[in-house]
Amino acid sequence: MTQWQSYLPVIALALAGTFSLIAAVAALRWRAVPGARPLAICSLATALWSFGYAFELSASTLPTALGWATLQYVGIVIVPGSWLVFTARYTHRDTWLSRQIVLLLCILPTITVLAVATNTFHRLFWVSYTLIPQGGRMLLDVEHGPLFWVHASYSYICLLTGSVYLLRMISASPALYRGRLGALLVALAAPWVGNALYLLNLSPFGALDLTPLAFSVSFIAITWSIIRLRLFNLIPLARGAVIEQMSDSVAVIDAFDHVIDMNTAALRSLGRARHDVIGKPARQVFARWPEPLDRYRQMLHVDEELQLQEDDGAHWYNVRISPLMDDQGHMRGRLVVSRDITLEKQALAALVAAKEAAEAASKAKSAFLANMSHELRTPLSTVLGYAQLMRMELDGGAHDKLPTYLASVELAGDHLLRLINNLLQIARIEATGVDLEIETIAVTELIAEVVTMVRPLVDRKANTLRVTHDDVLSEITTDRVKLRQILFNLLDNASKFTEQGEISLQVQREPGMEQDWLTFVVSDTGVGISDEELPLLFNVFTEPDVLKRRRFGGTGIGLALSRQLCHQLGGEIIAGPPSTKGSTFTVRLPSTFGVHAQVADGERVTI
Amino acid sequence: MIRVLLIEDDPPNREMLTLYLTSQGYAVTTATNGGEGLQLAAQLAPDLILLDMGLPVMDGWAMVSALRADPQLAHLLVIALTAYAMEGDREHCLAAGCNDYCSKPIDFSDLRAKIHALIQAKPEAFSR
Repeated sequence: MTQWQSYLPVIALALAGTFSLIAAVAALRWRAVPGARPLAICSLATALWSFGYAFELSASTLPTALGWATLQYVGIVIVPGSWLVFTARYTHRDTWLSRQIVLLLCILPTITVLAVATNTFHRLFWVSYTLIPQGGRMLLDVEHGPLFWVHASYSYICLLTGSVYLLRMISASPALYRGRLGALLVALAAPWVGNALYLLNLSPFGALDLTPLAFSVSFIAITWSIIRLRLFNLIPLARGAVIEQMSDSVAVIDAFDHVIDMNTAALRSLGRARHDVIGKPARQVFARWPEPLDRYRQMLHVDEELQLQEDDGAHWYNVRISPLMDDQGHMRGRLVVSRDITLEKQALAALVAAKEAAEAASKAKSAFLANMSHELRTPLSTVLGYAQLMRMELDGGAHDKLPTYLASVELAGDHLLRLINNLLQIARIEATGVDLEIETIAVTELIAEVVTMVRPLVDRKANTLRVTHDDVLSEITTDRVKLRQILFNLLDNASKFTEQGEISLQVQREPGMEQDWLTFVVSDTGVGISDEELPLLFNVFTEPDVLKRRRFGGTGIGLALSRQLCHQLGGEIIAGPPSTKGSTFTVRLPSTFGVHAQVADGERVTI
Repeated sequence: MIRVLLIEDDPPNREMLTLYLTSQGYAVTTATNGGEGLQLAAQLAPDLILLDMGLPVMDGWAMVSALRADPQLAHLLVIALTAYAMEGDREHCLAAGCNDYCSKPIDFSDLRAKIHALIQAKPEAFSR
């Protein structure tokens, strides 16, 4: 054997030590990542082991060799424990790893180091040791004592546990990280292989312990994956955490429709434990929803919104299914992700409703303004027209027509005032509701009051007013002022659109189940209302379509108000039937207000 | 004498306008809705129609459209007299076929000027 060959183990160990140091530095750069710190400690310990071993091999006397061997043990005892901690942290199986446990893990290595250092006194670690020449150099040959086997057992347990962690992680990870997993497999297998070669005396260097070299191979693999494949890349860790923590339900179903994984959200929504669903058939796990389950059975791609009945009502879900393919393009299973979008749906619906309401309100407001402008300009036009006529009269030195003109101005002014009052009353009802003063009044008395009020308007166009009523009208319990107002508005309209005709007011008492009703029918022989106009009549203020605007000659406000008042009094107002030979309005009120407690809200006029 | 057809459903306005137009020397005929107005327009072929737009039965827009669609009546001059005085109402009336537009309350000098402008622009209409 040549001189060069005899240096080979030393060079190999020195290289191994150097790589371990590099691995330690590399791990420390990622020290924020779980497992990086124990990995750095493990690599440093291996470096110490390797260098110590290299020096031991270079030693020519027994005490020197023993000294280096003792020093090595400081590294050797740290390696298994730190390896275990590294694998546990890295594979997220570290819930048991408290500070106390870590301290416990340190006890045996400490005893071992002490035992090695004091071996000359008790020989419980090494029973005997001697230097034997081998391969051109002196090799320390030892016979192991009981404490060594305690240490060895501890080491194998640590190594085995760490290997199990890595294996489980490898088997649970998708193929995507194959390169990284390859590196992990090397890291996992190398110490075992090295140790096995040593124990089976298959070492190319004879009695040389290959374990530190093997650990160095591990660290080279890990360092390589740190640098090339980013072993500590946050992405795989983050992906796992994201899936676990996300509020969406995630389930993995294999090609045979068995559930093989499920995140916490999915388990929570099913109300089941993990062990209760993993490996179970999908139709059993999702038995609550047979319909979508049947439909999805053959589907590889789904992205749809689905409504399901839950204990607390209907829920909306966004369900996405995508196939999981292997490298050969075979479907190995399916990924099912579902998200509860009930709140989003509700919020969206509320937004749409709010938007539509706002638009409708805006349209109604514009329509109201346009109609208001129209309603007020009409009588104002009369007032200012007569004012201009009077000015012309006066300019021409004549006075004889002035009284007629003035009377017309007054009449138009009165009309304008009523319009404004009605309008203000509508606005007030809209804002605060109506205050009713309910009293019991004789119907005939009320009719007389209304006739007195409306008489001048009727007479002005040479119309006749005919009032007919049953003999048994007796009394009505309602708001006197409001009812008078309703009837006056209707008679006012009738007399406005009728000339030399007849305006009639018919009052009847209708027996009812719980109480009697009184109907007041106001009809005229005037212009009439077409069937086209009829539905618009009471909504003249909210009708936004300019083409459909019809003139009701200032009656719009009066009719809208009358209807509101009728509703407030628990009754209704009906227009029609359509006719060109005059118009008819029927007011129907309960004889006693409040019997049904049905103060209808009415169809409000929006202002 | 210039013959004017006044179509207006609001009685006080109709009376007031009739008084004014008569005082200006026009021969005034009145109607209270678009249908009646259309009938009278065909019968009388008036020199000028003063048309309220918001009318019952047949409104001013429908009436002026019918007028323009009828070859016998299409040439008749129409001025809209309307309480629709919001933005766009004038254009809406002109688009329907009115020759001019006066908003209520009516300013007589404004109305007179518009009538005269139409007479000058189309004197043949007033030749009879």
